[in-house]
Amino acid sequence: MGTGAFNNLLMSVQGLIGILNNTSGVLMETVVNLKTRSHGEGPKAEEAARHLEEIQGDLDKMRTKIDALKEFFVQVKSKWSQPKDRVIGYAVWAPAISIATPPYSYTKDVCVVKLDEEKFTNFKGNVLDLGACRPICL
Amino acid sequence: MRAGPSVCRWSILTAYISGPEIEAGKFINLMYPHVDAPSEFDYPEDRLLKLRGILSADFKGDSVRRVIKHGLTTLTTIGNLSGFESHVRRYFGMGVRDSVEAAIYSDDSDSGPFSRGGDSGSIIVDAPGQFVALLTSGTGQSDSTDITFGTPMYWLWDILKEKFPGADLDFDEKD
Repeated sequence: MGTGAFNNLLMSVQGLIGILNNTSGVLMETVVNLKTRSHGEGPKAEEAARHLEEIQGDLDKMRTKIDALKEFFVQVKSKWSQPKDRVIGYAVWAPAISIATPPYSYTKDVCVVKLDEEKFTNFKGNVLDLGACRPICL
Repeated sequence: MRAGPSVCRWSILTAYISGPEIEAGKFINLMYPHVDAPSEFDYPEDRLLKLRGILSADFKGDSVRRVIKHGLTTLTTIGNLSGFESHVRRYFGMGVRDSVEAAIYSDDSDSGPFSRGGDSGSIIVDAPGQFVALLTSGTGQSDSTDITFGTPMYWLWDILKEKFPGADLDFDEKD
């Protein structure tokens, strides 16, 4: 990961924290509002109480998410800021690109990289990411 | 660690920020080739499809095979592997260059292209998690691609095995 991409990553984490903070601000106001309405008698108060429980749950989840993102940000910034920290291996074989490689005329465009085993403490083997929700490579 | 291409790399970090691009339920639906055919696809609970084995050359002549890739530009997309090879002619100032490629086309006009510029080098796999091809190029301009081309993995892996005889794509659980 180059410096530009790394800074983009940090910025996108910060941006996401900002957005979640905005949303949780709105949710907090809703919670205060619903609390007032749930005091009292009648079906409206009961409905407000049910709704309050739901929103409170959403708010708790969002706060957990924000905390996780903050921790992630600190970890990435402290451990990966130096370009040399982001070196995960080196190329051991990079043959010239050849299209129409005999005998089947396929394109040969490959590079073999020897990875630094110490950088892969959570190595899971070869997997394809279908759209991960949580970091597993750090 | 054995030598061999890593397909994990930095995609995890990117995906963490962007979240899942295709929700699990929809993903499973998309992986069914036909309404009446059983799917070979089993959506992994941790969203990481374990890769094992290489699709053999016998796929040529098959009807449709659903394939998946996760690239830097278009992230996770699903496409159809053609049972035919494509003979591609590229025009340069100095003349033409021909090559043969495995071809992948996207599902329909709604789903967008299977790949765009910047996705090159992504590994393309099928529903059971077999290595299918390494993404090389596509038709059209770099901002949109109608057909994606790739180098078949069964052929490429033979070249790599020749250079690195001990190389193995399948990692045991105990590793």
